Amino acid sequence: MKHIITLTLFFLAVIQLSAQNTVKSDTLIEAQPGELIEGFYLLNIDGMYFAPQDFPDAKGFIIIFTCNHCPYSQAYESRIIELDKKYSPKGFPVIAINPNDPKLVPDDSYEKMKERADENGYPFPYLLDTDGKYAKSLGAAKTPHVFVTTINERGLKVEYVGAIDDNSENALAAKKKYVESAVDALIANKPVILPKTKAIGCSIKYSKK
Amino acid sequence: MSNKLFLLLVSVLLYVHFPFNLKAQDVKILKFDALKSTLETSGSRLKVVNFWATWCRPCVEEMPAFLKFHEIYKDKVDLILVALDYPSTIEKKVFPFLKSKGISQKVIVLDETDPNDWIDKISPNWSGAIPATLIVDKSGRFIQFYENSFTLEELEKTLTPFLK
Repeated sequence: MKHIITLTLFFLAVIQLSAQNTVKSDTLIEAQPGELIEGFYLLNIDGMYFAPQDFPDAKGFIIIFTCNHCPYSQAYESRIIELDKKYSPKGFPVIAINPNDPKLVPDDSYEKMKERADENGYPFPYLLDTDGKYAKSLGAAKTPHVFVTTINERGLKVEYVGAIDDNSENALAAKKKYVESAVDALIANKPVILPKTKAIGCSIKYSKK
Repeated sequence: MSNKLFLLLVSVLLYVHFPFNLKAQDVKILKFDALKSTLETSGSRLKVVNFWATWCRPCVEEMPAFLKFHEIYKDKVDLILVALDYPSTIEKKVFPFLKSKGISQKVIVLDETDPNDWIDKISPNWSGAIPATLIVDKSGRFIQFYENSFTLEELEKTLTPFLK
């Protein structure tokens, strides 16, 4: 009995010692640069499913978890279109994925995704991640949340994780274009100098099931 | 006499027209380093620091719970609402929001553009999603971080252990 109390006290002490504890509603573990992730297989707004194999010329992907309703996603929308225009011909197409549950966010429904993509002329696939399973497997926590990958024989390799650039409000004032620097380096077969950044975003409204 | 009556009348009219102005708003616009030193200043109460924005629906939805929690525990807790709205929208968005909700608690608007420079300094485990809440003890140490929404019940259940 005495041992149990001693042990309990010991573990309590250990818990107390850990400097800062963190609690997340769902345990999301963000895929890190260097990690292999599974490929996507998700329904596009045109009614077709897309997988990495559907892009035979791709060297990699700029996977962006985004959505209709989030003001940060909206602020980045034109920059996401520009990224695709610039890098799709160079082998790094944008794959936009909406991971929000439309029951929780009606503006992010499949129909509304189609509307927004049509209105703004999305040149890239805008995929629906039903149940947010794919986003969860990458540990995506917010929109926008970017994962730049290369393709190798075993799957997709994460090369960069994080923000698009350093100024969400004003594209013209952005000085550090994180995604562009990463993709430029990959195209030039050079190491990505800053493979991980962080930005404020809208928490992903994951399906509660 | 008529002067006094006039003043009284004006006061009554002002009160009727601008009742919210009676609650002084405590809003500061700070750079991250200033925010950090404010949070790290030791004090007599636990600091509950909520990161929010007027555009963030779950943040706006949970705010009444934080205000109520602060009302109940104001002897033991300082509530600091850190707004992450763009600095250029403070006049247009943040002030009207605070006014319409009658919020008189301490609000800090963070005047920074690149969150990559400071998110890790609040918590290395913060993905950057909001709402998010940081707990700072009396000595100014960042002791807990939560990346989720709260109800009043959840706040009481989660935070009362820190109030002892």
